[in-house]
Amino acid sequence: MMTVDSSAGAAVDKGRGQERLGPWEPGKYVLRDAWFPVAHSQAIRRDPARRFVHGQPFYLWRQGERLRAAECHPAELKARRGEASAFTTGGEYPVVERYGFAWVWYGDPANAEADLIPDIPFLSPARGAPAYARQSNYFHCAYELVLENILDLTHIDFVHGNFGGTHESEEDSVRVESTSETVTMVRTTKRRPTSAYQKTVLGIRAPFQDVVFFTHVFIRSGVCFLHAHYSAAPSMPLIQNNTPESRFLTRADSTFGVEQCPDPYYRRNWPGTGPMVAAQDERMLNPQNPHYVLAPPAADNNTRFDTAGLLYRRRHGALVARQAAGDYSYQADMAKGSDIAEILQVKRVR
Amino acid sequence: MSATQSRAAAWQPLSLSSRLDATAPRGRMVAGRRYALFRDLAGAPRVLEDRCAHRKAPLSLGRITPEGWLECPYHGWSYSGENGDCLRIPNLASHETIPGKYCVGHFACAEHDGLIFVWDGPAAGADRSRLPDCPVPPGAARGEGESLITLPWTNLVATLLDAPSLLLDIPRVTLIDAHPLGEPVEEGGRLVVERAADWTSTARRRRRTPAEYPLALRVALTLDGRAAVIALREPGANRVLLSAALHMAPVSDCVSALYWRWSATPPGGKAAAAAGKLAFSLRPGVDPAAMVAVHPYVSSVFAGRIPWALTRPGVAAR
Repeated sequence: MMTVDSSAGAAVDKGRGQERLGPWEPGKYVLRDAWFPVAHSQAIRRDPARRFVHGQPFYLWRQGERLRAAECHPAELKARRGEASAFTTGGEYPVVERYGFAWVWYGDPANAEADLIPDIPFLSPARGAPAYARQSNYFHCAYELVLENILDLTHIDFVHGNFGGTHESEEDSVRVESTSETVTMVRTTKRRPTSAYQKTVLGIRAPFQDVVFFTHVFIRSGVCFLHAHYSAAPSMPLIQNNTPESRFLTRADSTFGVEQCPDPYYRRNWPGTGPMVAAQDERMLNPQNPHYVLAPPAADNNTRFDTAGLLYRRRHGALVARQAAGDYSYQADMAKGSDIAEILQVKRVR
Repeated sequence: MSATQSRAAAWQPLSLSSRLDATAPRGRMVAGRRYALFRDLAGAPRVLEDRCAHRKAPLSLGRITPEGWLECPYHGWSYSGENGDCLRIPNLASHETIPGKYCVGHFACAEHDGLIFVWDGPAAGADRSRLPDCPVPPGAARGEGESLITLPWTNLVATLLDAPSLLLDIPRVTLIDAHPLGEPVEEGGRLVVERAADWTSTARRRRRTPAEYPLALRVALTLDGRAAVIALREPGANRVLLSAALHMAPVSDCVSALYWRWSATPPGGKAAAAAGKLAFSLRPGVDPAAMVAVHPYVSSVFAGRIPWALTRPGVAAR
């Protein structure tokens, strides 16, 4: 586990490590052998739903009690078995239904261990979430940019100020941890101004709050957990899947952990911020993408506030290097038994 | 030549002056390059590369700070319009300095004849004497506008020469593209072509072809193809009814930008009623069937004279 504290007088220019890796090139490399939660369970019916992972097609449908996933439409499955790709067994992918999502395996089917599906402590493994807690948003960019955005907490002040409050906190520190497969960031702020949304929509009267933001990202799949604890307002965590459908589209299906929130009004209304927050991010991510995906690679400039994003870039680069050498395995620090509930400070839902 | 291929630096129109106020930046693209355009505290126009040095977000979606700098909407990095230097990164401690290499490209710009132009090469090479000279004379009626059109810049310029009626919209006037008045000529550093035009109300009533048309449309294009002075004249009275300056810039390979300013002076006499309501604008698009029917005579005559021209079969100039 690598831990970085970006609050302790580090230099402004933190880009040198990245420059050693070369310019950041989102969308250039494909990370495989991972479970991707490509669809809400409720979206899959008898007629197939179509999804993509890194451009690879996935058709998902129900046949009686059985959930199936294939690379072509079920009506063509028998006729096209001969063209089946190496990521399937006779044209069908490994698929598991858990936490209200259909998880498909993108990689060698022989490596598809269900234990590699992330543990989501704030959702029930067996039950789907109510409709008001689920949503689908789209970001028109490579998923690496979405993950960097999620790990980049200073943009909240400028892009989501109406939801997250402004940057005028009395204290502000960031702690970042990572494994070979994940990056976790915890940002602690003291006396942060209460956001306009919390004041006007949710009726929070306290002018200032202490807020702790949590972000936990799975590098291969793009799955992330987001949470914030407000000292004067209720809150709830969410999972956002960030599926790389292509270099130009990231599907962000999400589910809020509404069972974590005792306040019924807040539980109903806070998920409504999801599409608004997504639209604010899309306004940045959409024009960012061609500069990275279409233009010749060019170095970024960085500050110590980019520590989490740069750590993600390094970890991503290490995974790319390993997979380029033919090693798709998970290292011991994937820590199948680790309990993120403790870090997120949520109660486990059964 | 493709709009996004390399070529000599030039002054490119970016905005009407009146459309750039002191409150918000504008984003513009010329020849595939994106610019952020804003006014500093003194009201002077400034042009920066529309790509933050931090995470490549568009500065044109940002805001102008109280200091007159341009602030990125993503993380609040602020830039000087004068030299593109990053002057502020939010949340930095007082002992932290911003490295000099944290900057964005900046471009020379000029406010001239009601437009803002950018020099799309190195700022040191900007030569104000090369700004297009297309003033619009005072008139009783005036107007201006800007738009985009789905037409490559080279085709746009050729169409202005060969079939201006496909582009220009002058209410109450019918432009007759197929009726040239003389040969196209080079005159005073401009490529000049004149055609007949008619009052639309009169044209509808005509039962026979007139011996001569009452109006003429004169297009005088600069040799670099970026600007034209357009005049609607009454040849008989040797009087200009309407003058317009039209500026054209490549945006992408298939889209061009148009900026225009015009003035009109209503004449006396029997045409006064119609001419008093003259106006000038650009059509939003080109009729493809009409485009196919165009004979590229004028652009072919000028083909050897204008390096940017489309490949034409070639008609000898006289």
